[in-house]
Amino acid sequence: MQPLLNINNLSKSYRKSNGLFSSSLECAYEDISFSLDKGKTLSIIGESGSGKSTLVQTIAGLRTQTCGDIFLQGKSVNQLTVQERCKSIRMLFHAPSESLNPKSKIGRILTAPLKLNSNMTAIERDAQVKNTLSLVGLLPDYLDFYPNMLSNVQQHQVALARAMILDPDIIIADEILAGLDISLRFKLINLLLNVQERKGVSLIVVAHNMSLVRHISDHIIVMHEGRIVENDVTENVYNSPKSDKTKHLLQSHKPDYRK
Amino acid sequence: MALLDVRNLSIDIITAQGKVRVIDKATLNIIDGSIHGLVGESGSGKSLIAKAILGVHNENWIVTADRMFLGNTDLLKLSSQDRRKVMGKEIAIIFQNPRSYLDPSKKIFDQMREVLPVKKSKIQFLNKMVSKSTHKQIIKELLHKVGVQNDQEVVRNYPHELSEGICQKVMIAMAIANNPRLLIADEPTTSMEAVTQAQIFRLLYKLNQLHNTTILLLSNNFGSISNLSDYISLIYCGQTVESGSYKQIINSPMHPYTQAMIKTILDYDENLHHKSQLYTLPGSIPPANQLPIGCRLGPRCPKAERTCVTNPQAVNYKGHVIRCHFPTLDEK
Repeated sequence: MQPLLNINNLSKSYRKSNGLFSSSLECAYEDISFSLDKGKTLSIIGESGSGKSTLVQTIAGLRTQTCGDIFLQGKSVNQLTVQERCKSIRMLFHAPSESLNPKSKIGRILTAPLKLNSNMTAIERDAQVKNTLSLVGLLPDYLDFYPNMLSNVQQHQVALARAMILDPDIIIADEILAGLDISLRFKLINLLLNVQERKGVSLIVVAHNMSLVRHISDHIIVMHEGRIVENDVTENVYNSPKSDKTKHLLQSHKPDYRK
Repeated sequence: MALLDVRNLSIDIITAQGKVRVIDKATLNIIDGSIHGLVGESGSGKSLIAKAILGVHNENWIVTADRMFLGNTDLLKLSSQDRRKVMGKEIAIIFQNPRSYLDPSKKIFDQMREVLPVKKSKIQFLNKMVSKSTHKQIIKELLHKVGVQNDQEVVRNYPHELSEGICQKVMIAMAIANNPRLLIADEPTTSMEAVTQAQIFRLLYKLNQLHNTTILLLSNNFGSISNLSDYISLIYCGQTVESGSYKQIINSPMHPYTQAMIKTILDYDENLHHKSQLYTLPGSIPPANQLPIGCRLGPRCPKAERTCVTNPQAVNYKGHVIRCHFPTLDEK
């Protein structure tokens, strides 16, 4: 069976100035290859500066790669139009309070992607917005609210609704758990798992918390300095890590002071 | 022996809507030479307690306590000048987001110099000449103590040139410069990644073990500090719900909130099904101006009954203090 997303030797480097006349190429990540099946969760972990965020932003289409290809259901994304691409890959950003427009109501935030990317009539759009809101566990009353009137978790719910509204195949979550309390993290994780189960969407998660990553993901990629150092099924990574970097990450996550 | 003994600390904040009781009769008893973890979610008032202990609160706070002793000194009876002397010398604090607490316009060396203990010599001008080189030496030692190896480079930098982890280490170095009896660490590792977080915690643990510094460790993540602390107190919306030693809390949690928090440590010895729903309490934390009466966990508590609208009294079971009407009591 063909995988949903296939990444082939993806590399990105950018020019960095070294003084007045010289510049050099700095590598963000190189030779990244992996694939993702439908309904599965892939987690990308690694220290900061290892190129995780740049990589997922490239997959979402916010940045361009230097070389390499991204295949979506066997088709290169270069052949797809922007609309087709953003219909199938959606992204959740780090802080929803910054990624939601503070000046527009939730209803407008949610209908905008439908207006831009689909040929739905106003009635169909309305129905889709309400369905998606109930999918993420919000009441239709919230349509007339502004983002700043909602709590942090509710903003995350709205951001997820905006991502889900076009029925995408893949959702990319870039460190959405970092700024939340532990119980709110659990709520958001529950919501993501719930949505995945009901809609069969694939997830790409960039995260730090190792035990949560273990719980939600089927497959894990460990990155270090722009390269993949480990790429395996979750249980294998946790039970028998091959690379030293992974061991180090795992160890620093659960230091035991009571030995 | 108790180093810090706080009993029934209440904080009211005067707002436009009237007086809000944010901290309701918190009791804290910190044993000398231990690490005491204070766990609560954001908005539960951990930082308020820390600030009230230190005495750096605003004018519109009303702080009342039955008893607030640091060793043998009564903090409530001190004048503000005397309180100021206690600050930094006896009690030191490190904050979250260290970069925002360091002065951005000064180099690390000059900032660290300000906090060093003043040794007065009789001859004034000699004092000045000697001080810079001795200070250099002291700062070097301090930075080595907190695990900064390239001290020469660090002291020449401004805070924005350093990473968050290094900044936090500098903050810790500044805090322990005067050998305080109590170090309050107010969420020292928020917004840091796992590796740096482990470094900071290991450093605090070492300080406690080697130099016998008492540490009050505030955190919103039960899992990350429970392993480190000897005693743990849990706080929910300004009410201390349970406190006891590490063993008591982990082995026999009595309060429903503590039980929920312990479940946040995902332990893989238990058979938690992969991708199953995780346990959370229903509802969310109420905002400070809409707190429920009585036990504040009431509306979210799985065990709540009618009596929960009255505030439960603290009950002490062999040092395991709990405030709940329906605690889970161990039959053993």
